[in-house]
Amino acid sequence: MEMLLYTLRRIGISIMTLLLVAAITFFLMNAIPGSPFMTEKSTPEQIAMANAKYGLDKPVIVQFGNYLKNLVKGDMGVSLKMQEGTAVTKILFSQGKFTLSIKLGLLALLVAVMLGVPIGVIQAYYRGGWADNILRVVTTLGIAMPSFVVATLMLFEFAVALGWLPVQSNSLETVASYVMPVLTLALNPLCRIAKLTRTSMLDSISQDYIRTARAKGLKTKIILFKHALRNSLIPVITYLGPLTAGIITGALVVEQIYHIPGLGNYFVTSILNRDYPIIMGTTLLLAALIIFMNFIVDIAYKLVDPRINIIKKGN
Amino acid sequence: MDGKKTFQVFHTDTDSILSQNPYQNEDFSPASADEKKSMVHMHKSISYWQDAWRRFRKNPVSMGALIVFFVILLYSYVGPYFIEYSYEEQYRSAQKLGPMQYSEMEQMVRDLVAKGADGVYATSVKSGSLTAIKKGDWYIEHKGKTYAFNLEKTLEKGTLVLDADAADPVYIGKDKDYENGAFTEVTVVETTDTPAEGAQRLELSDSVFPHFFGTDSQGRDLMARCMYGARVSILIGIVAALIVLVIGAIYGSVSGFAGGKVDAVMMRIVDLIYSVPDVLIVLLLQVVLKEPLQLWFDSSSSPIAKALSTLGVGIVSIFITFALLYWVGMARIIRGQVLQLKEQEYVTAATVLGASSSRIIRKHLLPNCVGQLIIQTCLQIPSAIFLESFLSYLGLGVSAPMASLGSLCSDAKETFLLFPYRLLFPAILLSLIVLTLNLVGDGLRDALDPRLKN
Repeated sequence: MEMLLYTLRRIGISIMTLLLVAAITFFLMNAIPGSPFMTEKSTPEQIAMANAKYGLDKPVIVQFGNYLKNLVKGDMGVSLKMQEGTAVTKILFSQGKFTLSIKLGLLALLVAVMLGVPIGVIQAYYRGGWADNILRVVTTLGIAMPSFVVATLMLFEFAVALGWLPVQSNSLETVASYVMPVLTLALNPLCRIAKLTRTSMLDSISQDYIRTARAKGLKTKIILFKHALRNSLIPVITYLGPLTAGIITGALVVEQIYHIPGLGNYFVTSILNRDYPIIMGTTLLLAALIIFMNFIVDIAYKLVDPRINIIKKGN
Repeated sequence: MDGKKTFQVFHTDTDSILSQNPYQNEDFSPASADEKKSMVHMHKSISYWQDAWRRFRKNPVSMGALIVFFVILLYSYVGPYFIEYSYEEQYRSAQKLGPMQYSEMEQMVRDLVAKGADGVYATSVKSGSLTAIKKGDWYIEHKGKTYAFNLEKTLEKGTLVLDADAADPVYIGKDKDYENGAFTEVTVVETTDTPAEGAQRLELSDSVFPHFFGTDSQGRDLMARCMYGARVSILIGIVAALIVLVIGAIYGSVSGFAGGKVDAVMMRIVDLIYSVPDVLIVLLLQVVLKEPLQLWFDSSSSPIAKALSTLGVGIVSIFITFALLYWVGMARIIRGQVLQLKEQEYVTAATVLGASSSRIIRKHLLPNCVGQLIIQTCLQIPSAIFLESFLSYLGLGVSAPMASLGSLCSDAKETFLLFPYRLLFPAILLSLIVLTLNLVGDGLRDALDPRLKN
């Protein structure tokens, strides 16, 4: 019952956040002076006509209301400039952009978790040893390096100097074209997860129940992986929310560098082109992803560790 | 009896009590100098800061990071005084040079000097596209001697050379006549000892300052640009962190101190902002703020607008974004601290003595949060630098002629495969700054708040 209430509450908060994002984006977009149809050639009459056609002549509040009404029906409007007249939903979902970005993002997430956690465990296991020290330097570096630096360095090394991987990944048709974008995207979260795992492993190793397990004569490996690791993963789970946001942010840069026609790339171009419905649609979609992930994480957090009383924690 | 109750007077036998007293009268005599000495502390008492500094110093990683960061600070703030190029000057003859490379014209100057020339004025090596020596009267001073001459024509794309030992000390060579270390044709300039009235002095140079990092496509010195970019990046990081500090500290402490419904509402707002995907909004803000800010800068004459306009629209909108979105983390942490601190006795004492809420926050609560404030601010700087470089790299942050490390990387990305070092130098610098600041921040956390260690 308590869990159900909590879930409902979280759903409510998530929807509110999404609405807030929609409102902020909508009003910010409309705060950009001038009309999106303004070009060097267009006359005021043409602009007025185009505005009327797309309903941009109405007050902003009314426009926002209409947008929300249509949104509920699954209609996100049509593109004004970049693919004039095409429905935004079609651009986002039917042209392979979303699947491309999702594929990339999920792979990066997988790589980050699958490599980050073991690295953290190894570091904790060999605490203070050379393996720990080397990995600590590497992870610290990985956090400090902006993704565009990592991307360009890899491009130069693997694509240009060694020629192993393609310079442009385009639509990710070959396996080789995945390697660099996924690694670039995964590096920063991977290092953060490794650090997090190390700290929380060390934290749980010093707990009493570990001492008990030792006193019982269990093998170190069993203690480490069965007893310590399970409890150390809780902070890692909470990190999955920010991690999703980080990967989506990273995708903006990574897709540009590797020339991948994904959603992130399209978002930046749509902002520069001021194609309102596309900006709106992309922001909402990406924000919904992040908010949904945060929601899942919060629920998982509660399920994994029943000691945590989230309802009280909020205050 | 008259019904009055009487009490027996309580007489005490003081003598018997005093006899049990182990202290005698002489015990209460003033202490001698020797006795006083034993009461002196052997160690000086250590203040909070000294203690923190002592712990910080013992941490080799953080100490090393701090030193590297200071070196970078020196490099970017003092360095420009030692190099002869500025970040915005374009040298037409020195475009697209590699690290430590000299352009053809610069090599010419070096060769001429190596062959005995005492001074050179090469118009092609100077900044700007149409540098020239105007026609008219000029004089050169070299080792106490004066060489005065009259130029009949404005000299462009040529080099004026002074060779004090030669029979004809001053001559002019055209750039097009230069081949393999010598001019095929030179024009000798007649010189006299006394400069004509109104003659201008001509400063010669006898060396070419190397382009340590090479130059970009516009012929700007990359090292000067890196120094400048690092300065801009660090400045943006610090100012953004200070903005976050002020807003976050005030909001957090008010929320924590007020408590109850006010606190609940204020924290819900924080939660909401916290869950807004920041980068998406930041990107939008960058585009949205550009034109209104420019308009304000152009129309307003207030000193604030003037000062901000020198920073440029891109940087100011980065600050605004930080002020709008990034203070929530700080606010949460300070609120948590204040919630704990406000239960302390000294706060109760201050309340009883009639101190106002704002006074308690200012004088009692915030000073006790100072450790957290410093740590959070310090860790905010690298993340601000990170965000700025990200925006600049996408072409939304700092714009030319200004440069930040991010925009330098962005400029270099198109030609990266041809000139990788153009991206490498600013990228290394950027990573170093972020890395060292992160490490210093971690060290500060361990030093200022030892309870949090591991």
